[in-house]
Amino acid sequence: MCKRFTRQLLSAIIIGGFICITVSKSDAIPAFSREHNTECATCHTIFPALNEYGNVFMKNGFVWTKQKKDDASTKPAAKNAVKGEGDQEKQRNKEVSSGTASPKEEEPLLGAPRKSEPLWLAGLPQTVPLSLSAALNASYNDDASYDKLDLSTRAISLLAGGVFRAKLAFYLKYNLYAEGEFDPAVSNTPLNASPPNANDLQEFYLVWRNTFDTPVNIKAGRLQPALSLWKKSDKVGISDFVTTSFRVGASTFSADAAEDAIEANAVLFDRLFVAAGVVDRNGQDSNEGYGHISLKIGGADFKGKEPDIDLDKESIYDYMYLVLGGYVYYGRNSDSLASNERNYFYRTGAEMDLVIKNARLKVAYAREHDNNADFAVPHDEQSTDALAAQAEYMFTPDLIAYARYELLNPGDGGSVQRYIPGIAFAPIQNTKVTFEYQHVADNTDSSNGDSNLYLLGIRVAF
Amino acid sequence: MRSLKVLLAAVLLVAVAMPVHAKVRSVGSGDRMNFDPSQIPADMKGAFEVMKVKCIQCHTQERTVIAIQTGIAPVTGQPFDKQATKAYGVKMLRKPKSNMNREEVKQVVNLMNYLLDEAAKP
Repeated sequence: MCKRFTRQLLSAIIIGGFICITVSKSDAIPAFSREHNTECATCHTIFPALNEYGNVFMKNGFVWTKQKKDDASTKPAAKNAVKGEGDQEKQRNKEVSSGTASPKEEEPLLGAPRKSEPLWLAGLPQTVPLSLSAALNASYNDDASYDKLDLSTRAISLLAGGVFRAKLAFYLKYNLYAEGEFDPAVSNTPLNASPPNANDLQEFYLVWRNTFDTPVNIKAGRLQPALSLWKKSDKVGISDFVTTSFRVGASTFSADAAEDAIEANAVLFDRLFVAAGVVDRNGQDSNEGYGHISLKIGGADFKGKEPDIDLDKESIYDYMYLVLGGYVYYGRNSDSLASNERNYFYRTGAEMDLVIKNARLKVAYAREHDNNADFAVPHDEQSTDALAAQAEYMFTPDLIAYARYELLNPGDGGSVQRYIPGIAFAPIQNTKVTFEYQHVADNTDSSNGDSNLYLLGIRVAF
Repeated sequence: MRSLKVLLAAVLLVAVAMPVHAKVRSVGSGDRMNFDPSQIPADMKGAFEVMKVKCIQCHTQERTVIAIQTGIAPVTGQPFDKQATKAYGVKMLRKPKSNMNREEVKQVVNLMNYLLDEAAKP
């Protein structure tokens, strides 16, 4: 048994060393690195997993938040008065640069290095906001009846993102090429739409930031609804959390799929994030809706402001933060526009993200109730529960190990458990190699049983 | 011809060493840019050594020099003042594997505040 395992492990590693598989989705945007002239590690641990500052950047519509000037004692000792006439906006920026005025919320200073004034005035990003992400993966499934080794899945995506004059943000992910068989266990989750073009445009949305000078951002387009604390791409490993990727019966809904939606979200009281949206799906008799709320305790707040730490006093609480989140999604779908058989469902979830120094613990629970997930007559109501817990440890900034336990209880008998250890290594910040092992214990059906899957993924973004 | 080369080398040397700001001088350029050590007070030499070793583990010293000299953080474009130095210090303290302890963070924050004061002098 031991020899067999070792042989399989070595096979997977060696073979995966030169090729790869499963299409794992990405939102890492090198375009942001170029635009802001900063490294990937500013926003990511090991890309595309976000750190707390990357999360702030995303929540704030891809703009660095401005810190409040609430401490008079920290202001510069002297300021130079700015005098003159001319363009009021330029004049104001000069005043801000010199410290005689406070900058308007979210607006970069013209005097900031490497910023082109004409481009800024025109509302254009400083660089062409395009980048590519490519993933090559290899898998070895010991229990498959054929194709034990699969080298045929890979993907290349075009990514774009940026902001026009700090008012209108945009994000786009277009799948240029994708090949691979769908398998939720290995992350190649399809979208909530039908082929042939469903998977091409994965996301494209606009964000009207601080609508009418309120904290509310309006987001519209094809987007992943703000449900989970972690966006689909926000992960160190290869496979998705079962709590967001599971589907029930013939229903195409999963919590991590992009939808045609309009969403309003806002950061309130610096540490509370709320979001609500409506989703438009073909074949609906009315729109679907969802809501999300999350609270951050400790660490930098949702606007990126650091906690007020006493540098003279040591405390473990200075190195930890906790995020608690919850969501609900209510919807309905069917297997075709002609069908009268609808499935009315709701999904609820609760999540926790705890970080203490180099260690991180993610816990997620989700429950979905469907009244007719197979679109059949008579209706077959069922509830599905999913639980996931993942521990991560950062050994070095470029090496993270993780272990995850997942439980899926379909509600109609039996359960599926997955044990998923893995390791991610980023020799260069834009290049990641991930090895993941999955042991699956499936007793939902007598024909199922235990299975083992080895995944090796290499991805680059540039 | 040789004199010309020597003159040219001297001019380049002066240009490289030329301070960008009258009050906070820097030496080198690009990735090798750093604060001119001669302007660091004796009691802050230790902090300067910490800064030279620890800060460049993740980013060049150019980023810090520009922030001090211009008063604007190069990445975020936001004002770089004493409130910002404390915030960056706390950020580095909390950053996993930043390899900076409390005392080192405190020293570097104090040094940056001193340099900010120097930069603000008329």
